[in-house]
Amino acid sequence: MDQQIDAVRMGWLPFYPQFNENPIEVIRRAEQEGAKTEAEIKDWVVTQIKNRRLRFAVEDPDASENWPRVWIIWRANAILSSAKGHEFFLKHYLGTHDNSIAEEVAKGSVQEALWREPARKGKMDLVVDLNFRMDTSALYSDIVLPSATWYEKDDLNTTDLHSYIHPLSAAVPPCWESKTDWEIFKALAAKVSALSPRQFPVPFRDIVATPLLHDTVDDLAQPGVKGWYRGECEPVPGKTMPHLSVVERDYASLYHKFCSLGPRFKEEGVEERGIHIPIGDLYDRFAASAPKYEWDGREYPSLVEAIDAANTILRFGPETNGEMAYRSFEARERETGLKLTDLARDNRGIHYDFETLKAQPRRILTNACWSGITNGGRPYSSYCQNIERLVPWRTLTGRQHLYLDHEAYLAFGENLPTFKPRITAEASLNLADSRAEGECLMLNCLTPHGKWHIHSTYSDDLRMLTLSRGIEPFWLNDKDAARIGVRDNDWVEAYNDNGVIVTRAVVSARIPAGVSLFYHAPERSIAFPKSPLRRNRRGGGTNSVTRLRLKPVLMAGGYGQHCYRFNDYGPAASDRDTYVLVRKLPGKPQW
Amino acid sequence: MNVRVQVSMVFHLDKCIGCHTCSLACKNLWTSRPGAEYMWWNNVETKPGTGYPTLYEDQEEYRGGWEVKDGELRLKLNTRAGELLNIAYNPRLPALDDYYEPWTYTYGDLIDGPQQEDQPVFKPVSLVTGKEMEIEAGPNWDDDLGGSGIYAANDPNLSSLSGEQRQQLLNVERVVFFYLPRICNHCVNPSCVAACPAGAIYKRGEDGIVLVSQEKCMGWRMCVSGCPYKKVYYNWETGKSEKCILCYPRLETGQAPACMHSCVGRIRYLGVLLYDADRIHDTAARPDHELVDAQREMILDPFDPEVVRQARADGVAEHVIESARKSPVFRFVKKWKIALPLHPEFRTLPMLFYVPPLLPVTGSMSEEGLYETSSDFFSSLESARLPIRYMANLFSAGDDEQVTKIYRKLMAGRYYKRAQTVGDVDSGKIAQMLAEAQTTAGELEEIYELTSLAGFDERFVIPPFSREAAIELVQITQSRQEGGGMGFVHEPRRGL
Amino acid sequence: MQDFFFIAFPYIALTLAVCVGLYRYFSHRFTYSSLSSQLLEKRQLFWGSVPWHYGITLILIAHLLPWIFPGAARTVLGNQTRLAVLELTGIALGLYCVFGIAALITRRLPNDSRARAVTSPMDWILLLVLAYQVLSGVGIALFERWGAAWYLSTAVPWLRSLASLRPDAATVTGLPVFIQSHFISGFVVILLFPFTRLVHVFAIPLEYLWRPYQVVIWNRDPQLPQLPVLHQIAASPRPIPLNPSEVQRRQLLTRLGVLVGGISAAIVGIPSLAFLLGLRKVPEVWRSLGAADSFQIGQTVEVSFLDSTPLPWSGVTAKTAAWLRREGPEQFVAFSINCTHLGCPVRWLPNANLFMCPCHGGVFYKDGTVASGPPPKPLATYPVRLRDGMVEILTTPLPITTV
Repeated sequence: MDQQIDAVRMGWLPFYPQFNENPIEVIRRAEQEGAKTEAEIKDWVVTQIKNRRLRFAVEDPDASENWPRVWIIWRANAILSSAKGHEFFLKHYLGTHDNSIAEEVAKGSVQEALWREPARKGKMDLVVDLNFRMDTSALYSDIVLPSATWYEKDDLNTTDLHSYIHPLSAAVPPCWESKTDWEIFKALAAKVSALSPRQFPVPFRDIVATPLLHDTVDDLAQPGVKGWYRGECEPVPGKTMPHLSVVERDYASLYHKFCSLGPRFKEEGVEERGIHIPIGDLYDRFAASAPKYEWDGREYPSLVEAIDAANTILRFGPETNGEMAYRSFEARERETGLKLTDLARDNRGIHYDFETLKAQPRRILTNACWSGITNGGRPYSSYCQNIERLVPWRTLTGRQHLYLDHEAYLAFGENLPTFKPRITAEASLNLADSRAEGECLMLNCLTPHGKWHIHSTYSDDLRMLTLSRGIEPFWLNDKDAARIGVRDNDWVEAYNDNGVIVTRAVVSARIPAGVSLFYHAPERSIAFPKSPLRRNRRGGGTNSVTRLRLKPVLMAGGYGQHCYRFNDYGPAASDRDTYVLVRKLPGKPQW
Repeated sequence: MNVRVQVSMVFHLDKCIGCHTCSLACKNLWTSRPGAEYMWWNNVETKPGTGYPTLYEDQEEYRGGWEVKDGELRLKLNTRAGELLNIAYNPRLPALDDYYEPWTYTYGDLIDGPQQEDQPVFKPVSLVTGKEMEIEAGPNWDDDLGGSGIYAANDPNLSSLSGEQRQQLLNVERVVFFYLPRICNHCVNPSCVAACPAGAIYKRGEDGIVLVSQEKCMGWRMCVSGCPYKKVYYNWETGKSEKCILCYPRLETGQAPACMHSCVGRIRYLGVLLYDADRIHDTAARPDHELVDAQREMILDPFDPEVVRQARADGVAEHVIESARKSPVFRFVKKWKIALPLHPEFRTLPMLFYVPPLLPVTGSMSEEGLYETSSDFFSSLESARLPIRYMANLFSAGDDEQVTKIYRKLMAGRYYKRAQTVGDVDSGKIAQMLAEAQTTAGELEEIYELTSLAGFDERFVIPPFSREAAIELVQITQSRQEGGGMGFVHEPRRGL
Repeated sequence: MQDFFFIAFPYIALTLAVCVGLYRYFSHRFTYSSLSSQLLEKRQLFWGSVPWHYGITLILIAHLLPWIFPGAARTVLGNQTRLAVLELTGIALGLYCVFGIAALITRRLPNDSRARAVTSPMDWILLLVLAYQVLSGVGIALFERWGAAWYLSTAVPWLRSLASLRPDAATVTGLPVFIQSHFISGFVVILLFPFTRLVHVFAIPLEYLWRPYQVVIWNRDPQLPQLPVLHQIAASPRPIPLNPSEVQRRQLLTRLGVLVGGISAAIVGIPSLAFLLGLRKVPEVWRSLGAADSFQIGQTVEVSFLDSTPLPWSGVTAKTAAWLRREGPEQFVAFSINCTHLGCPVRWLPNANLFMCPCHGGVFYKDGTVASGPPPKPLATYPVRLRDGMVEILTTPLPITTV
């Protein structure tokens, strides 16, 4: 926790809420005290921060002004399969039933975070879920906005390794009350716009802190780790602390802005992976032929329909517009001094639009924002441009690194990747408070990705459940199972301090002794019975026996390739390697 | 010689990844109806394992297929009179629990459940009775189990292995499994047809597809026992038997069967084989160790002018003969001889052939700590995780040499290609392997092409079906155009 | 009322059975199935289906044969030992059926049983009717014994009269209601036939015994050269099946089927037709019983004489018996040997001066009137005459029973 606080203060990581005060209020106070221009405001804020009159929210996470209150979940099963430590989410975020018995251990050991007792529960005021799978997140949300499935809407889909771009197009309209995601967000924007004049009669300013970003000059921000809060240096936004930006908010126009492609896009062009591509002429050409949206006396390309948004992306993506791909290489050439535009020359005239993709999915075009070369039918493989065309790697030295000399890595002894033995059960602290009840066995519990499970067809539909065990089973080694009197298909209870799983066992010699598997990630709604061990509450899913663990070295930033980027670089999800006690379920299962 | 045409299949087991997409394609298309939900016309089994229905391969118990008694080919199930005497109760019929009791879930409980302290769940209910049930069996219960002391250990094909060999299969270092996808084999000597007292099951002359007439079927359910592969299923709702139809409505319009089209691993091949119908009885009555070769001999060469002449005389259409020449199945089965029928000892002459999987070998650590296999390329066959005898029990009526021959050729192909692409095998050794495997570089290249690179149209060579002949039997097309399709006039609903 | 149940209802049942059955066969063939539920539940089915089917098949045959061959039946039943054995076998088979049908019903009763899930309302109706049929059958066998014998005198004539289209319920209208209900419910079963799974009875695949194992169906005769389409249509608007060897087989089978069918039809049809057309008169023949003086006055003796129209194979059954008494030098009286209750042959007990029926304890005085027991009417009498010192008795083809 302390490391995370340092990381936020130094600008390595974002955190929301940002400050212990409403940023709108912060601006107001700044203005009251005479700061008017953006620069003045930023200076004022920096001073407040330096003098500790304005604090980062992360420093006192249990203070009621510092919790997040509204959670909008979109395209993720955030409450279960993504929530390592699901039972703790239930306890602290939702304030509902939970099966954990873990005791608080942080007291006395944190120095930067403010320790408050008792730990706060039920922090969320509102959980909204845009969901078509109707998974556990939907079950636990306050409001579910049913969203359309893949064949009920216009959308785009791709991943780099797949190297094709697919359209999703509506075979049927969204069923019942569901809407496409685009429609949902547009409707939300419309409502916010309609309601906001009451709160904000005129546009207002907001201060936003953003972390140091990879592929920008921020990569060179911190040659050494220095904490301004320890007096080791001055707090300088974008250098030793997060960037600060003053943003004008005009919520009343939010809907219009949602529906139109704005002028700043034309001015600023496309920025990706450190490449800047100017698009002025392309924007004009696009604007001339695209559907129009008019507001405030001006005309813009329309983004009212999802298909318009899709076409906009396709027009300005270097992956799907040969001209943009060519320009991306021009930008890379300027940067590196290499000759690279030949890679995009043959495709320069190609441009995909949504109708083209509906006729047939297309290959993404070789471009400088991605590192593969897919010309001539080559499969996509990362880093081909770096290896074959000597484009520098996006690291500190421009080469591949095995040794990482960030001071944080050095401090933790992780500068060179060497073998580290698996953490022991005791050290994992998963079984500090759990006791063996009856004939029990302690097992390492792994939650691998199974076939038909997450990232693939979901295994909790009737077909997949019929082709397996009709429930998500718990896999045990045959000798281990014999030791606790468990036969194949018997009910078992697997528990630790974090929570409990109750399901049926699969017994096989192909599971190594001492190991158990519970594939990631079934929904909690599949026929799991109650756990007599945990106050007769229902057993949970894979993340009921895990907890969230942050790895400090992954927070390191401000130094070469160690720099935050959304969905690209930052603390990864901790692995779901845990320890449990397993016993045969006493009596008959209760539902 | 009496030349007939058979639409045949090859499944390449090295490529099957056990994803079950094939099962779902068939299930969603044909068998998601009341009475049929427990049927999986296409299913995928984990072997070693007990299969679906459980232990179906044990013909001492189920008595499917044929046997030779006093030189005569007889249905194992019973004599004709014996079957009629058992018509009220078939003692060899598998019970639903040998398949599994199909279920669904009370999904509505998630929405309609009462307010409670805990979250709601959906529970399994039987699709037969509608009541809550415990799930104790499924169509793929031992999926990926490999080392199960209950399922894998009881695989009937392990019967001729020694106790020690069977014990070794349960060691985690030796645990091995592969997938065996199965559909109806559309046999040339089908025992399901023979076992049906009403004569409701028939084989189509023009293409060999075996079908159950839903009108003639009276629900005597002898066919279920007759089939040793248990690929005829009784629909408990309509009182009729059903089976894989090889997606003949798709085939008749030039499309591959759904299971084949959807196969992710691209393991499936389809094409016609010409065979000599006069030899059926003879071939099926041969002693066990001659069955595989005899079936191969029964299959005819579409390039042989003698065969072509006879085929024309027997009414085989010209474009079907052409299709037979392009058939990938012919190449796997007859030309390269690397595909074998499943359980030929059942004597039904199945026309679905398998290329046996090359399974991982148990390697060893050298003194330098390097992982290696032997330098004698084929000795690894002895250290294969599954004894060759197991594969032989599946595919060659226990004849190890049939399987070993195929393995030698497949391994020769692997090493040959490795020499080409990686270059760390000496050409002298390659020549030696080719000689031992009795193959040539040219043949190995062809095998590689068809196995690894063949596109959709090379894998599925669907003969033209000439539906006009069948249509004209029931319609005078000169005076009446665009009539309704063939099929049921009445909805197929269960009798009173 | 009686007319409805014994004359109209059987014809209604039979007509519906045939017509609806045929309609269902040709237009709704999909619904023809035994609807076996063995897959879903087999243990209780075994204890139900095997006894039921074996039992009822044999019982049905036992009911059918006397109806078709009453003469032969009488031969077999004339012998007391054979009669007893048959009666016992019949009861055993009946109990077998009761046991079977009970299992067939109880296996479908539990609310969560799989068999119940596939039990339709018609199935319940059928099961109940069949249960009643066998229960009443066993009941009759136990409480009105020797049905093997009196069946010939009561139901058989009535059924034959129905078949010959000159319905006459006389032989059954006097029977106890309990027995009548068994006859009526039998026709209820026939009525139910086309509306239930009973259709499977008429699809029993006897042809499986000689059918070749393999069945191959072609869209065209592969032996024909590829004819232009027009010719093929002109040649046959139906599917041309099979290749030559299979054609021969099919022809043989067709011929065989026609032959067997023809014979069956003839057996049933010709007599009915003949009767209808009045070709068969009811002959009345005077048979000699012997010299008058061979009979002592006051003595009642059993006499036997030939039927008026003995059939070549009747053998012993061509003989009919009667009780003859010489009451005076010229007066003879001949009593029918059949008890008027259900037709069992009565015995004359000289010491008691009574006729006694061994079946159900009917007793008649020497003049034939009822002394006690179930018989409703006095013993019938035959006309007797003297001719040239010979006693002669007037025969009819069937023994006289109740009227």
